[in-house]
Amino acid sequence: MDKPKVGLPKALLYHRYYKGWEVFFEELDCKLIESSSSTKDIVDLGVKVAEEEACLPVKLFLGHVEYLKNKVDYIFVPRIVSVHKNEFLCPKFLGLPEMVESSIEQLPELIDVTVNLRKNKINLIKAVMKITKQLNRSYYQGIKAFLKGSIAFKNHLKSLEAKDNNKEQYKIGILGHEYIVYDDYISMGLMDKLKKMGVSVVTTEMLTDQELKQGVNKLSKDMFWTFSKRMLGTAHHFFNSNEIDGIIQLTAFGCGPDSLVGEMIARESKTRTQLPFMNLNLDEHSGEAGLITRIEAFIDMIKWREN
Amino acid sequence: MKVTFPHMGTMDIAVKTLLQELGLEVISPPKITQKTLDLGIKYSPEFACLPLKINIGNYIEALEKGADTIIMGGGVGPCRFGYYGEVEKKILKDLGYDFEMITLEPIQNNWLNFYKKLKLLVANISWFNLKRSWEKGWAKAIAIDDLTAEVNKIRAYAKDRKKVNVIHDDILNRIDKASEIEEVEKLKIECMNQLKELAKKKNFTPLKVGIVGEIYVVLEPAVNFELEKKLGEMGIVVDKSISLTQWIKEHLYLGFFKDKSRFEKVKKAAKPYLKHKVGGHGLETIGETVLYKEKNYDGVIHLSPFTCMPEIIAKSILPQISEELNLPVLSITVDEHTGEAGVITRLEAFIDLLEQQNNREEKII
Repeated sequence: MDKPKVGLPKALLYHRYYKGWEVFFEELDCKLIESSSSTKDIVDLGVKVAEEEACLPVKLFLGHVEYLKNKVDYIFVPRIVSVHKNEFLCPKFLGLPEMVESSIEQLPELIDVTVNLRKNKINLIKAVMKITKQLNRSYYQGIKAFLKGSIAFKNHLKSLEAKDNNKEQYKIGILGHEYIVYDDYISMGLMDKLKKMGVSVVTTEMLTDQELKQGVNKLSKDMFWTFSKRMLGTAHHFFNSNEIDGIIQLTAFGCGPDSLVGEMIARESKTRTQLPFMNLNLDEHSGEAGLITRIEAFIDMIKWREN
Repeated sequence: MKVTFPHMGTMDIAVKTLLQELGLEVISPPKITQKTLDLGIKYSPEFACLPLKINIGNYIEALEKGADTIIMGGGVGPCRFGYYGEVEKKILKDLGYDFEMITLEPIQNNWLNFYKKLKLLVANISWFNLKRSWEKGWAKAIAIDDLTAEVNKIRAYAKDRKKVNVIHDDILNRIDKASEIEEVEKLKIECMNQLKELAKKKNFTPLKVGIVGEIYVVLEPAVNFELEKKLGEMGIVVDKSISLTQWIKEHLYLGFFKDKSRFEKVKKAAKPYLKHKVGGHGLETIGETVLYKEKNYDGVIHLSPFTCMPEIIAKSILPQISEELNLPVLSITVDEHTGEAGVITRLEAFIDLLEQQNNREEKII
């Protein structure tokens, strides 16, 4: 029998969990098919089928599903409600399978398990078991795949924490969701551009959990979105440390959490520090030339301040 | 201490009573006007949803009137509302206002915290007084919700529809001024009688439209362009799926007293289309739409603020429901740029469609 083909859309949480997901599905004896990295065509596909008000990351996700739908037997579209105790993900993740189903026609079967670790972590095993059953695999194989997958995921996170060693003269802190920062099409290769300009970057993923926790422990209200909390932690870590020369915040057009948390960070940065701060709001129409001009001006300003 | 709070429809009447009974000096924000909206837009984040912008406008106007303490609701996500308080506090502090903000978090999560916040507001109050104050506010809230529902039903049948609005506005004013529970109940009966005695159209079967969506836009006439009134005056029976008292029963009541019956029904109705809560009123929007079809309504109007996350999910599913159930659904998204004339045109077109569909069905029979 042929291996079932499982499609992974390269968008949203893929950018955080892909190492784990890849190992997990391979261990379950599936042929993994990932969509290509984002391109203009994929964005256009997404924009065409998506609800017009949806945020850019969701449109992009739909584009990737559209790209995959004729190439695979299953598409992995989990409903990730929560990945941390007492916290949530943004509502769009809670309704993602339904958004996909109602926007895209002629879909293959979805693997749309619910992952809700808000109250307890056992639910993750339940989700794993459900996938195992859907793919007709044994429990033993499911558990083994889950363990190998989580080890791969954790190792991946560890490898990111190792800060980049090339000691450039200037260091910029980057704030933004992983699915924006690490999507080269949407962020228009921002990271590479900065590196080429002789600037090293620090992202949330390069900080340790300890540093992130210290960042948020003085907030007057606990943040309930996991990834926005990480963003806040990163921002406050940047404010407190002397290593950073400037902060660039990447927000996605139409992103709900960013509209409030991004604003809080921008305001805090004004009151708490003298650090140069720039917000880049990205959408499907953002032009690369405009971005380059703004980055160059920003870096020039940092250099000029030093002198 | 001079306390204030944000507006949401007729909520101010009940909240004002509750706070005054607790012995607080209350400064209600002025009614929402273009100026309120302009202030809100000027100082709020561009992509924040509309309720936050109007909150900011309300606060600024109330602080200018002399308020020094703001009472606000909190939340634990995933809707943005849970973080409103923090952002609003920061915006107003940055503007240089001197005030306290008391954000009441859901009591279920941390009752000690809730109690402490309450103590901040009212230092020494007996449980008896607390209960009495609540009951007074609650009586007004219930009376207003019942009357509004009745008015929305009756308006279409009345020969003089504007007269219904006059009666309604007058009674709201008098409930606002009433000081005893008995008085509120009397006013309610009086209004019901007045409505009954109105001259009605005979042999008239009006269209029925249900309103679903995000609570703030559904309840606040200043942002939904007085939708119920407009529809009623066109001769349409209107039903709102959300009311303030229902919301309180479902969200603020504790444990055993929590009213889960409606939500269970809504959840079941929504199941074929949306299997999980998505925060805010996303699941309710889907479920109530299905329920309106079961109750033989002719159409559903879906209201949401621009960029509202739960409602965007609902909005992307609604076309599928509309098609499968053969139920016309009109989604109206409002923000500061929405023009009233545009909304009226869309409403009229929608009602025309409902009328046509109705005629067609009758011919088939």
